[in-house]
Amino acid sequence: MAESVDGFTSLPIELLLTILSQLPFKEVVRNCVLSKKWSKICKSTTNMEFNELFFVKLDESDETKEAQRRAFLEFINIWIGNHQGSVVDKFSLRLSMPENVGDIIDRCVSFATLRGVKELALDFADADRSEDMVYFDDYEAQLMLPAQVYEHSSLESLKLYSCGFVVAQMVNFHLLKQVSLGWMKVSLAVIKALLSNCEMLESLSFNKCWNSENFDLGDEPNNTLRKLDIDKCRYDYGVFRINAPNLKIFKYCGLMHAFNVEIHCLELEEAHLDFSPEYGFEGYGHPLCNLVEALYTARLLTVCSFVLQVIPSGPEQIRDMHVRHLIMKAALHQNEFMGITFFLNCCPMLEHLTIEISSLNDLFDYEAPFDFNLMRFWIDHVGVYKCLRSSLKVVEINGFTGTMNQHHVLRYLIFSGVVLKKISINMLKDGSGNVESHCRKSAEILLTVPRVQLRNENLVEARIAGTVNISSFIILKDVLYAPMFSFNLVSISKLVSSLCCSLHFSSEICIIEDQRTKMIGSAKLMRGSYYLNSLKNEFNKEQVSFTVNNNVYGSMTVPESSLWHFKLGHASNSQLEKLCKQLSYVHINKNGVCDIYYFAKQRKTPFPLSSSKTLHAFELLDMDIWGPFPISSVHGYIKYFLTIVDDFSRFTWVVMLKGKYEAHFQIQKFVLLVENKYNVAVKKIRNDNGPEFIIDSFYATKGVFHQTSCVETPRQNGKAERKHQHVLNILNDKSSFELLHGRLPDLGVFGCLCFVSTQCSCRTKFDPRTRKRAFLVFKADVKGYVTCDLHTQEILVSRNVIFHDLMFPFKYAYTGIELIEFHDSEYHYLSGQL
Amino acid sequence: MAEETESTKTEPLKTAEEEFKKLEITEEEESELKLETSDHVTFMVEASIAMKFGAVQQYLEVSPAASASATAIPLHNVASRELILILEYYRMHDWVDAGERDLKEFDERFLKDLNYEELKELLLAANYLNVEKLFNFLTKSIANIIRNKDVEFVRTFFGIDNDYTPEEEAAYREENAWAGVKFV
Repeated sequence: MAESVDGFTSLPIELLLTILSQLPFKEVVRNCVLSKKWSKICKSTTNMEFNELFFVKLDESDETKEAQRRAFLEFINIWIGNHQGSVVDKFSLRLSMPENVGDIIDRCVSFATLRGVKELALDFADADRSEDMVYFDDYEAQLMLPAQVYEHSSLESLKLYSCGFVVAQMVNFHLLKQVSLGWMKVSLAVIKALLSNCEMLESLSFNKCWNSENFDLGDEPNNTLRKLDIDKCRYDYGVFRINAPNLKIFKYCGLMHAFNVEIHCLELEEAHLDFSPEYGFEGYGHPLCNLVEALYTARLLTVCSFVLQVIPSGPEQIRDMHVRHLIMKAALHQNEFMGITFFLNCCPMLEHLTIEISSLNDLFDYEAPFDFNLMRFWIDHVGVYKCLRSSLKVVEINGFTGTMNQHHVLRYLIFSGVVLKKISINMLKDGSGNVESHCRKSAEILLTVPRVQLRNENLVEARIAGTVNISSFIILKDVLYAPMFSFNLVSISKLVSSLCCSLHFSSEICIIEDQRTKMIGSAKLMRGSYYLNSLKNEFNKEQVSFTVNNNVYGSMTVPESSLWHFKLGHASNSQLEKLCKQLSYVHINKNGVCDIYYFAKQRKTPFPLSSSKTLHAFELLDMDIWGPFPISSVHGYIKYFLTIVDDFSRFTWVVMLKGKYEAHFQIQKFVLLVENKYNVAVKKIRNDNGPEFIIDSFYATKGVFHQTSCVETPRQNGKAERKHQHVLNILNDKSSFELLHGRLPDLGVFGCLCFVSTQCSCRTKFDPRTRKRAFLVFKADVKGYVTCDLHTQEILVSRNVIFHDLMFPFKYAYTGIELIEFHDSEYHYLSGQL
Repeated sequence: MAEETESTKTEPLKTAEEEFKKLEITEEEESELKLETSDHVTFMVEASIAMKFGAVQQYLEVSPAASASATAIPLHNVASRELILILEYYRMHDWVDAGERDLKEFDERFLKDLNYEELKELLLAANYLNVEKLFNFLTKSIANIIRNKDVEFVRTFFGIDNDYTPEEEAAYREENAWAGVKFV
């Protein structure tokens, strides 16, 4: 680092002086020792700071302190006397008990003013004052500002601690930009006069000032004020009013009290709120929200533990803040969690979040908005807020100690921060290695937290592209392998376009169906994402077939007894037996099992007529889904129907479905309906292997035995399948007539002609008394017949119907009515005893 | 495809440049000034930036014709290498859209790329040209280098020969012990 640079010595002295003047005064004094030339340069520094505390150590005895103070005063005298330069830019004097040393102060001030000082700081407050004190005495100014300062018009910055002044005389400060007042009584009238006298005033700070007035700067806008800093001042904040349209920085530290806040500052960039001296909770929620809302334009916001605890007790939501950088001085105690989520929610543009671990502001009357399980809070009660999705890039935590709560918060931020780029964890330096190793461990665990990277705006490098077979139905093409990703993600849009499939999402499951609406896969909802189920059966099948193939190519010896079986091309035993009768040298090995025979020649076993029959109704229900019908229903979206056949009575119910996904619900509904209506429990349900029938949990609660047919064997589900055919035939309306006519006189035939009385209320004397209609269906929930008007195709339910079963008005003139069903009506039966 | 992407890339740059130029033209009538460095390299510099240089301002006050004519304004104590750096700094800081954070990052990078010798040359050039912003930035940066360093480091850094006798130095160190002057 300390490479020798001979160049700098050759710099002109003025330049060296400029550089030196940038250093703190203490270092300038130290640098006098460099060389004689440098001692001269140092002695003309333009930046001087005389601080009593450089000399006086407060923990010494009074006598020593007195001696140290004398040395300090002497040093001031010598330095001022030896000063070589003609210019002083900054002059700062901190001296307690100024009454006895008025001459030195006068000398200092005239020294500084004569050399055109720009920044003057005079601090006469007690040396042993405590900065952190909440309740302080009523400080009085120790000394008045020396008169020559009022004449010094080139002053740009003035700091007066415990140093009184006459505001009426401050009329020459045309360049004054910064004023800092502290440790004395400052009335509002003085502040107002100051603001009006010094027209360039940009920055105003108050430190431990007090008065018993409201902090009300009035309605008149002050256009020059850029910065306002109120640090532990004691005013009555019943009304807090500032109208400074150009205010950029607002800083407040102190008690909350009940603010009636009116801050007009549209240009605000930074706001720092620190209520750490506060101890109460009750009733501050709404005023605090008002205050935070008034600061909504701030890009940098600092909040403290008090704010985080109290703000959730106010209104649930406030307007969106413009905050880009949020600093939370928090203990990450559970009381603060609600506040943290509150700010994450209302800062949608947040880019940088800093958490400074500090002590909890223990409020004696704290009340949680609601009870929550600490361990589950960051899982159950928080969403993924907008800032986490789109803007939050940097999270910084200072003073990390690895507690459980810190861990949970960081875990949440890492997991949900979609665009998060950087997390910096600065551990608390504690000296004892124990804490550090604990922190380290905790931080290392955080490194392994999985991340949601749904739409990462950084390009992630993909190493390999290829095809992945998830199952024989789902084959993903152009799969990119990105080692950075901790999740395997499937793009829905690509999946849909490449497989021509459709996806149905429900609250628990997502079903993937192919073009023919056959289910080819499913995904389960877990923690906000759908996880594709691995289709284990599918894999097993493949593995099995593979092993069999291996055997075929293995070595094999042919037993002599089976020779003829092989010679005749794996002839069957029955064929060989015929041969055997005629040719004595043909042998049959009845015990041998020939793989190839079965592989090549096995047939399906025949289906004999089933004679087993149930003895009671609802002992066995056969079910099947039919569809999709290529033409939608009148209502536009019904394409499936579920057929339920009772094995005992062969009574049939047909339920219309919008999609296969409805089957779950309808089956459950049906089982419950049977229980209620017939007072019988369903014992067994039989259907094909459709996944829509798998509702194991429901079957278990009802004690229903669920039986499925074998794969590709619809014959085992024969009753339901046969019923389908029947139902479709009825809809074809030709065979239905043949099937039904005459036998059930009460029933109309679908589509037959009927005359229906018109409603009296809409009829005049000369209107026809009936209208020509076609019979459609009986409705289970209304006592009447559903008919369709031949001309208007209006549908009506009425009991005044005369049927003409042999006439079919729609038989040749197909008018566009296709299939009609009724929603929400019960299972309407088409025929009673089919 | 390739052509398309290229054109889309250059377009925003072009429009930004055009806008920049428009701004200049509306602000000031004359668009460029000719500056000649000590190693006889001429630069065409936007007037808005050149006018920030105290030396250029002074020259134009003395001979106002130079702004209109094609004669170059001579900068005797500035080499082309320094002028390039200065222009880079000012173009960045003059850029309307540069945010505070961008500028901070730029300054850090700017400083990192300089070695001590270049830093000194640049400081001298900035001093000669009377460019306040850069000058303040450089002096502050140098002060930061020697801040909180012990006396020996500062001596090596500036290449200072100690002309105190050991007794004198010891006496001084004793006297100003409060300022942290310790014995080595």
